[in-house]
Amino acid sequence: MKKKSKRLITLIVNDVEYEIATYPNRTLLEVLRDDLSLKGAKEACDDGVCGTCTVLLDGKPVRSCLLLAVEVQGKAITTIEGLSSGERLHPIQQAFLDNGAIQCGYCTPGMVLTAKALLDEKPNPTDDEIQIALSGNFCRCTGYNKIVKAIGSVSAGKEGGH
Amino acid sequence: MEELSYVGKSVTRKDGPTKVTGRAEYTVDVSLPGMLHGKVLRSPHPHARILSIDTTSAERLRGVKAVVTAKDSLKIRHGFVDTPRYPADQYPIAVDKVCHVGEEIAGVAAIDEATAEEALSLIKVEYELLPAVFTPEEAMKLDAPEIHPSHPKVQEPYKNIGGLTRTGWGDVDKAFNEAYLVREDRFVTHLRTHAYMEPQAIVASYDYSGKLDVWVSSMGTFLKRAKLANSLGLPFGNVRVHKTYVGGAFGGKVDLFSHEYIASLLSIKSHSPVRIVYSREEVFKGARHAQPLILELKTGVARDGTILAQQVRAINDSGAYRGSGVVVIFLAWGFLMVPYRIPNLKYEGYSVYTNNLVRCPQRGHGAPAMRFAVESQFDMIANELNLDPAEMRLRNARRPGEILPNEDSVKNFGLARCIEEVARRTNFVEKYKKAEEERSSVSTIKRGIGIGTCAYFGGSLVYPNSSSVIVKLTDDGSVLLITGAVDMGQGAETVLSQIVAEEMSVPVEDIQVYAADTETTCIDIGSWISGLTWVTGNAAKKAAENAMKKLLQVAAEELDTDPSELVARNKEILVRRAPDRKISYKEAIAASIAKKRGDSIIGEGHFRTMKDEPTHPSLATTKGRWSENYSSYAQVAEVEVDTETGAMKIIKVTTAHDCGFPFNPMLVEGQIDGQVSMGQGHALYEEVLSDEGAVINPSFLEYRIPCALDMVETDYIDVITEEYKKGTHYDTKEVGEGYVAGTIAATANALYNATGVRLDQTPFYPHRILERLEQIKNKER
Amino acid sequence: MRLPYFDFFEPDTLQEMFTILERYGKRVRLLAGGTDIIPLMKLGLITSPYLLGLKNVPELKGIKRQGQNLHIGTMTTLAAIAASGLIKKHFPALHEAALAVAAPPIRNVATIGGNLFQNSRCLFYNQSNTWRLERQACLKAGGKTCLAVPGSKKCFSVYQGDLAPALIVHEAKIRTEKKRGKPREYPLQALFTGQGHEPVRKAAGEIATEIIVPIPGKRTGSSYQKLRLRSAMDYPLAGAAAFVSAGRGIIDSARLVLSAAGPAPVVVPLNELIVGKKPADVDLESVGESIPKNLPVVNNNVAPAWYRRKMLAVFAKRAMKAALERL
Repeated sequence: MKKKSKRLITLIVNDVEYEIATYPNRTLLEVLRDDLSLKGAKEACDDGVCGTCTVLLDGKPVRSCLLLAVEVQGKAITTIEGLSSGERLHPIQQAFLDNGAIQCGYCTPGMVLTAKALLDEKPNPTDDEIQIALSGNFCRCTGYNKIVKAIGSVSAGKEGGH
Repeated sequence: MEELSYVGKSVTRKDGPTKVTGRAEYTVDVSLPGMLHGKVLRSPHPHARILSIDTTSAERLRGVKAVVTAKDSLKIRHGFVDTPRYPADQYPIAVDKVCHVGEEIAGVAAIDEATAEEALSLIKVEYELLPAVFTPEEAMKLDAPEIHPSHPKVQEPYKNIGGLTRTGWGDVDKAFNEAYLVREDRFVTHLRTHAYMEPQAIVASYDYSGKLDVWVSSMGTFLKRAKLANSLGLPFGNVRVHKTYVGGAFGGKVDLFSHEYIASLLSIKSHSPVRIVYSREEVFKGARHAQPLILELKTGVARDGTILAQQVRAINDSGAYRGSGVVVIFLAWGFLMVPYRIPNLKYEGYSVYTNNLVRCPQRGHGAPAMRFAVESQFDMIANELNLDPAEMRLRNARRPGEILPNEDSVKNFGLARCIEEVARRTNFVEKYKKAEEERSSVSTIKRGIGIGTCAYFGGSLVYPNSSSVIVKLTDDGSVLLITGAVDMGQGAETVLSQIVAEEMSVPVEDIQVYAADTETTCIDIGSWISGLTWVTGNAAKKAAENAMKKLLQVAAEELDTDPSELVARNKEILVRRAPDRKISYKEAIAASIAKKRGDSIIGEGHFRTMKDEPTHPSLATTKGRWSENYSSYAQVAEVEVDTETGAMKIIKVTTAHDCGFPFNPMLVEGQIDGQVSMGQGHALYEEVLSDEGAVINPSFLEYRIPCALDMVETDYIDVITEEYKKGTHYDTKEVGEGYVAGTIAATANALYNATGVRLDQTPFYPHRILERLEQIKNKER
Repeated sequence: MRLPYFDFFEPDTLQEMFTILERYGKRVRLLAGGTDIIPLMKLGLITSPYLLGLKNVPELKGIKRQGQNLHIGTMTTLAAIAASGLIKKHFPALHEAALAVAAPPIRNVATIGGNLFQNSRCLFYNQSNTWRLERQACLKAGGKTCLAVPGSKKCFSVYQGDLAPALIVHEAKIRTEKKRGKPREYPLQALFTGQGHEPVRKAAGEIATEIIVPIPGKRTGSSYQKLRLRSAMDYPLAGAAAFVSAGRGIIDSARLVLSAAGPAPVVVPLNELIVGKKPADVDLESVGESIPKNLPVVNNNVAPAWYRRKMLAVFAKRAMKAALERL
């Protein structure tokens, strides 16, 4: 058998640089959870279908269970832990709370990050656009209605503010 | 009604900020120093005798710290049911025989997952293959292979009978003779599963003091503790189940699972923490799924649609062990007899062993199957008699105060109001007629509307039967709420906080919940019998009242008046007639400690379900009372069917619900939305498929749960039948399970309304719909 | 599930990439977006001592017009294809096909090259090592017989790519290169072997660098239509792409290609069914009826074979209808 060797890689997660020694066959999700103890991204399906492992890569939602950690060096990775800062929740997080968009919470980090990417790109999405954006993030508790409403309320809030 | 400040309001979730920031620790997130990774060896065969197991090579592998098989266990059987009639029948690790693909044979704990997996491949098991059977009707035949002997009390000439429920009243034969119309139909329901997002997971940590610490994704930590302690032979007090957040359960995480036992055993053997987290594939082939039922219904009605008699035979494919199979044949009767009056009934339910996976409850536990059958046949009858389906349901719906055949009262049963209101809100009659007229139009898109009803129990006598809650006031008047309740997402901690806030006049934000830990909280009925808001809620209420009584006593002494003259408002106690005479909670607590020799203010409250009943009802005869709270609801589904592809979409579901009193309307809506979505998946395309007992679609790609683009519009109508009053016990009802049933039933009827296709089998795959559409077309030619 | 060990290369230049390809030959596998290969590796269906990541090679990315052709780098993401105004305008079928794949987060990393080279699928093939131990390996996974058609020595796995049919109706070519020797360009349909066990042609040391599609003339229309049970994150149960061109009000060319119809995209010969007719005179029913009757579609999916065959006809019709409406 071939000798296994680790790589020294640099990941930029939530604006912090981490140096990690890892085997190349480890996914970004494994490194985030096991090496960096950033456990907001979850594993649920093993095959990239459900979206609970969603993180943002250069601002776009991706499956961290389908990416190798060695592939994403130098890119900006945002996890749920990097979303709220200071004393306040991020407006999307607050909207999820206010609209009852959370039940068991297992899919919530992925949902919130996907919503953030959408709202960054389209500040006032239609319900259809919200549903399309969320179509790769599964939720078994809410039936999605209150999640879509929560995201819609953030954009409506923005509109009202202007 | 008195003004309520917290109860009845859409208070945001207590655990929301933790969850939305990704900080909530689920069992899969628990990591302990020195933790080993456990893996389970499973049977590749559906039915086989184990001749030998050789673990030598696995034990020798570098990095392996423990290997366990049945010989390391006490060989104590466990089961969802463990009664004198239905004793536990499943070993947590297979002893001499395996009865389904995936049955647990051995466990390995190693320094990492890869090593544990390699070790599994080094375990040699010698099997003698036995013939297997995969459908209940085949398994019942006398020449079928015997999985387990039929229950000794079952006299009928059938094999593999795990249990039988038989009950009835009146004279069905006479009633059928007198009926204007008698229909006999057969309905077959499929194998569905929970698809909770967090997989099954446990971390077990045993130390040299003889204590086992456990973190486990569950629906009731006290039930887990009891089952683990029993099967491991440990004192209950030596097993501590910690609180973790639970990533969904829907019935699928109740009872003891073999991997939980194996992780504990591995930890005991290695004296190290051991973690077992299922892959999604393992969830599909190692955990348990719901109950597929075959239902044969014979119903006789009068000319006006009044039910005169029903004769029902239910056959449950219980899988390799008894599981909850003998419960579902009891419950199926329950979900049959509650909503509509049935003057004459003959019911029999068989639970049959097969070489399939073991079954467990899933949201509705028998209701989705039974209501699909009953409500479908109801519409078939309405069609034959040319009656309005909503009107016919109204005619048969039980009214408030009716006494059920098991002597339960339906009390303030809201079903009739639900039917009326949902029909009105959806314009049901008009839309129903319009769809019928448009069925023959040239358009390939047909719309239809359908109705379904269900009624559900809330809290019944099953261990631990009761809940205890403690509230502690801290020095400044903020509150610690200590409860054994498990919040799996339904919002238990939030609702309990609302109750305590209401009773103690303390803002919800000033209440901290300490929950679910078996060592530091009190026993709790659990989040799996649709009784938590009622049982634990009343316990919380009593605990709050108890603390308030003590606090008011001190305040009365301080203010030189009688406690009855006092009123509490936002952490202050005032003299009702002279509100400027007041004392803050902080001052009252200080006074209690100073003047009453250190008495801090602690309240305790206890509540038991069915408090006047000594035992649970008989699963075999249905004798004995079942529940004190019957919820009810009527749901209307509006669908669209593409007649070229047979694909059906559920556009909207409107729910009129009698959940008693909605403690938190936002949470109630969330429960209904989730059930509509789960019902949608079950009705349209979710199915666990297997081939010779092996699951062939063990993934979220091939087991399709709905995605956001499939979202169904929902609407709700509150039918409030109970009330919440300060200072007295309250009644309230289930809202978390039965709506799956109503959704599936309403969808089946809407499909018929849209297309004339009546399916007697779930799910309503497009190919099934298309096949029937073509049959109809051919007939018309 | 964890990935088996491999060593990883991630070249930054074409030259570096070709050097690695030449040196490691068959021992190295290409990693594009990874959304197909990573799950297959987790299941133990693909193992390789070396993976060659292509995400950092800039020459492989991008959509550009060169004369009458559109050149799409094989590492262009499906999100980029879906967002391209040029593609939406000239190749509506491709636009629709890109949007029909999985869901947005997958499309953010999945590439056109990876999509075309995706493996064929089957309920009895896409399973884990443990599953194969419990049951048996199917023909494609190294076993003795097909499990979908027991006893068969032929693999009945299904090619379920959404992009290939859309590109083939637009007469796309694929360009491959290697370190030494001339680049090759050939029609995209020639990429597919028609064999379930090895559905796409791969040559050691060679890499697909571009997809080249001729920009259609003015009066043309195309469409891709897909049937699935769930509205996202689902492979097609039936997929069809259609293209029509009608220079002077008369249809002068028409093409129809099916997905999920066997181990390769199926080009349906339309003959005189459409060409030479006015768009309004096209009999759509006959388009549906024109699809081959002997497609190797078997019961290896949630939906039965008879239904999938029927739906291929329905979706062929729908794709043609939509293409005609775009003329």
